[in-house]
Amino acid sequence: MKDYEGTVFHIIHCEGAIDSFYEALKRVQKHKQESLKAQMLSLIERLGNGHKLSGDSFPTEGDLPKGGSFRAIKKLPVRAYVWRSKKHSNTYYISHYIYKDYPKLKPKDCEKVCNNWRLIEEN
Amino acid sequence: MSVENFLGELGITSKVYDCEALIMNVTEDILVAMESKNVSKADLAKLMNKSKSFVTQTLSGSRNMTLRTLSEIAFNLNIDVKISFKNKRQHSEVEKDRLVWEQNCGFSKPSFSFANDEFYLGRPNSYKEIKSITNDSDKNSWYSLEDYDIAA
Repeated sequence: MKDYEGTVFHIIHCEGAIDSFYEALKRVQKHKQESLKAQMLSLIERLGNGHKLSGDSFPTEGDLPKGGSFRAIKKLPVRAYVWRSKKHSNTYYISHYIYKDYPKLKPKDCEKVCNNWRLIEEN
Repeated sequence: MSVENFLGELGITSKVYDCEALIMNVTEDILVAMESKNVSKADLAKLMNKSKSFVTQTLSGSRNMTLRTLSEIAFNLNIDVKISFKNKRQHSEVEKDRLVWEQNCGFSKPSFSFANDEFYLGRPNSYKEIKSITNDSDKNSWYSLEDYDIAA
């Protein structure tokens, strides 16, 4: 796992999350890839440093297994699914990234977040 | 891992990152202000006498925002814009600062920004408070007041 250490929160990538980012990025037009990487990173930095994110960029996306919900760090067309840990203080986990050009959350993405959540929060 | 390390790993130049981060932070601050004032993009468009797509594109960063537009947005949201310029600190200096803080204080170093005052978490209230935490008599070895916008 790789992490970003902000001044307030640690942002930790789950196993495979970074790879999923590069997968999602492959579908973005070449000339937009560098800006998109920078935009996603700046949102992660903002979150890590405790600055509020807007509902547009940090919407609630779905439910976690034992209550609570997970969110997305969103910079169209890529988003990262993320939850705030109850087990580890001041820590957000990024489950995975997707290229999303459809409106609704797919069950397989919800399942992936929940599986990662169980792995981290229940072990 | 710091942003600087990520930049190298992701193959992003600092120039591109600085540009995108500036756009992102300005547009996010506006969006957060709009949410706190319960102003939608459609409302703002009406107030500015512009189309909703103009506002959407401007706030998504896909349309360049002029200072004139920024001023107009701020006026319509009844907020002041504060812009400050400061010399960029080298990554090594920032990292050294952080490590010294953690060794002496035993917890992560907070950073200080009054620009987003109401949203900031875990920030000591004043320089005096910082000084009492660090118990360091030489403020300059810890902070430059200019760096952190802290009023003496």
